[in-house]
Amino acid sequence: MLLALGNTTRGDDGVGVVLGRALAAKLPPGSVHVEEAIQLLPEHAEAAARAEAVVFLDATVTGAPGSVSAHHVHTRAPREALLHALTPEEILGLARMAYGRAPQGLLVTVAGGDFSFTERLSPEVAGAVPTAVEKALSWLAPYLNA
Amino acid sequence: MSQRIVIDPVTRIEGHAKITIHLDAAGEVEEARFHVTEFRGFEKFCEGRSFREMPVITARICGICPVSHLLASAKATDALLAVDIPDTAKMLRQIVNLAQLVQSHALSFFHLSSPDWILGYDSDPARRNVLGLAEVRPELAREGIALRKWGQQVIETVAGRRIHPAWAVAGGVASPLTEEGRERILAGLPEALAVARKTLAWFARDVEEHHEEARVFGNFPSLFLALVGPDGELAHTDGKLRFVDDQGQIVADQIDAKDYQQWIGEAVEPFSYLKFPYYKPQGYPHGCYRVGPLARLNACSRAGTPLADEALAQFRQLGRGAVLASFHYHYARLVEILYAVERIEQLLADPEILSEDVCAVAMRSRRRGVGVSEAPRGILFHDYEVGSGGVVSKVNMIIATGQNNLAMNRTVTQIARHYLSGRTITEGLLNRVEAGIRAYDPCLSCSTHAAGRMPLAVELLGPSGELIDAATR
Repeated sequence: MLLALGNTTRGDDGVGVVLGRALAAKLPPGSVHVEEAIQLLPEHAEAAARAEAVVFLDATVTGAPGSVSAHHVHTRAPREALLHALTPEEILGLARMAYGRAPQGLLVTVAGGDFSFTERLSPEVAGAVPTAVEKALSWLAPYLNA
Repeated sequence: MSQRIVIDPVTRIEGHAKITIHLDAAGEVEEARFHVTEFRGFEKFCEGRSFREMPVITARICGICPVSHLLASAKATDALLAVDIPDTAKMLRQIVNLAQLVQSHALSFFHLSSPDWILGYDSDPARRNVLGLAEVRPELAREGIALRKWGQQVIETVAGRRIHPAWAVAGGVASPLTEEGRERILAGLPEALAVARKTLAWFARDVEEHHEEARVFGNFPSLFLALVGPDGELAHTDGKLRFVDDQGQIVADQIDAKDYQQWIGEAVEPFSYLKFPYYKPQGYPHGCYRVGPLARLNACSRAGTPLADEALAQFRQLGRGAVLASFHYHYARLVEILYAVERIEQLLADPEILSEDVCAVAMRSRRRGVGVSEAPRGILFHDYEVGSGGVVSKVNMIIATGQNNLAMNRTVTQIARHYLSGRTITEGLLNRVEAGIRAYDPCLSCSTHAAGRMPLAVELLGPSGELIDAATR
């Protein structure tokens, strides 16, 4: 499952959605379920619980624009001040608690530089898309070959 | 000398706010204020746009209830065109509005509020949320998700996308419902109905366990405002305005939306970006009225669907006249979810629901248009004035959360008077003030129209405004 996160009208914030579409185009048809969302909500836990593996694709404000990061997502205890939007760790935690299983998870982020009102990615972020897609593909390979 | 307590920020609501509690010289609670501290200014920056763009622009006010703004805006633009839109378009708009009510109420009841009751107000706040709920009552978390998912699927099926659909337009809707789409909605309806009935039965059975909250969380006389149909039945998308009093007696009825300014005034206070609407004949601040699920159930003469009518009769046993406790907004949400599921089924059975005649074509013929719809949190007004070429020259929006502003301030005051002891903000006070605000399910993104979000902050202030204590979460 690909959870592609971001607001495509806020510049680099939309890179998660761009990554989701680019990644899906490289995967065998029917092998992944793609969901695009502005933020993570409780119902994403239900879909995640049915998946073998989940890749969260998102923008981050941390790091130099265009820098790509990928790390495993572990279920986490809930935050004290929980709001409407959940984190990837909380989605997997909710999947485990409500549905009895949490899939393996990977969070791939690209650091953004321009979050103004535009539907275009900045050149640095657009240039980082192939690298981010490769990182996700590499992590997904064992699941796709299984 | 007065003193002040501040709760800043407030959690599990949509938006950004803080609470201050003011003490008098004797150390007693004088008043409490619910401050909304962010500002977006949609009313201003919509000026200069074409009126036909307004539905899609104003839907962006909120990611939780975009459909409400879309529909109120589309109705305002219908009024500018002076058209009576096709019946099928009216029914499709109703379905989408009711589906949004289901998903929004489900989020509020199951995921934001039920952790307070299931885990206890004094339980560890780190666990008192949807994850903690899933740990102890996984079926309740799953059922909330199932209801939300069905509501969102209905919106996506009818309007094309779950969030910010650009589907309701001036004169009707952009696309008809397909046979396949109708079947998809109907396939999920039995589960949604079963969850709605089961949850309502559970909450109604156990409602007495919450008598303390019902007594203290916003339990006071006020007016109530809602849309009703021609026979007084529940009406969320079409209908006219009705005010009832604390006895449940009709004060004003069948008021056309375009005349709202004769009945509703808008006050401002220096401590909040949230407006303070009031019932004009009683003046400010005496003309406090409430909107939303509680108001709708108090205002209507009947629900209009079989199961919801039974549930409404049981709900009304909670009060003599109107049900006054804001805690019972939660109960009212469950009755409305049941109504919405039943009503969607009725609408889908209409022989004209698949008609492709869904939009009237017309030129602008009026200079002012007012649209109104019932958002999950209460009645929503969009009022546009346009100049030559259909360019918007003035916008006024009255949002549900704003109309509950006076009531939320009174609720916080009531809770603070009951639970504040001494000059310290205890965890118990913090939890209950939060829960009191949360009963209204306020959406501050809509109502200020605020950007960002915020957790809970409370400050306790003395008679001269000096800070005595502060707590944040």
